Amino acid sequence: MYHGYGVGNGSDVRVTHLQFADDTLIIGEKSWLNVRTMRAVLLLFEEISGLKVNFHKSMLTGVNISDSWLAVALALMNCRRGNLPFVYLGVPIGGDPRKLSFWKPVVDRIVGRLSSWNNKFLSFGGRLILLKVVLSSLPVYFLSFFKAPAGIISSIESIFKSFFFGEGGEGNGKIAWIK
Amino acid sequence: MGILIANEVVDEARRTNKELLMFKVDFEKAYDSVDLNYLDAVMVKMNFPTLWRKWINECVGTAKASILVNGSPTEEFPIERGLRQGDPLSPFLFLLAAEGFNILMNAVVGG
Repeated sequence: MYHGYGVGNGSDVRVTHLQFADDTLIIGEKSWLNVRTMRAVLLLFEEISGLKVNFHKSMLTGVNISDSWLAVALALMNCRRGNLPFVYLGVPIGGDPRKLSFWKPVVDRIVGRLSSWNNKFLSFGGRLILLKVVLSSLPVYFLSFFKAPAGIISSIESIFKSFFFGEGGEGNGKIAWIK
Repeated sequence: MGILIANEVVDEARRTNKELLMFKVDFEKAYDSVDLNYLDAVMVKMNFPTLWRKWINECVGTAKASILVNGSPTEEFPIERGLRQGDPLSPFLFLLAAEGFNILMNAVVGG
């Protein structure tokens, strides 16, 4: 009834769905039967498990599918249209990791974490621990999936450095290495 | 793992100009709405021993609730759905509930 997306030349390997805890992604080829089956399966699952699918927050995303076809499918599924890079498990899917804009969320998140932690209120050691434990794990999650451009790596490092040694300027950012 | 597969699939569809349809499902209040009878039925299907099911049901299904209506409590009633927030067992029980979806999908693919 349901036809997953066939990967490769012979389309031997068919991907139908991916699940991680409550993050679910249904993958298939373009057909009305697939859209109807998807909907039927979700409604059936709602009925038996008690879990509710929030169709208004769910997203239908198409690749190489015409807008008109997708619009009818959206009406049928009664859900939002998803655009291509969309977030699955906290990571953008379908983006280009070579572009700087792909890494913007990572950099923004690091900056966001730091802005509330004014470095003046933390000791030298405290800042080191904050950087090592909390902030380096953020990019590491992304870096375990994508190769980052060198520019992004250096800009993340420079954020770390300016936080660790104090924001630059006015001479307060200097450390006496030798006395 | 899922992230890598999702990325490869999108990448391949773009590269080879194949049509691809993806639906990201959003479950509403996932933990709070798991039907406990359904959970038990899943455990029966998975051949959990009776003793185990009894333990789990004891942990999860013995809570009772009562609501204050105009200041006077109603009669106590058993809670029929919802895993407890912060319970170390809850993530595993949710996986059992989500497994039902996997079974359903595999059934419609095969049938």
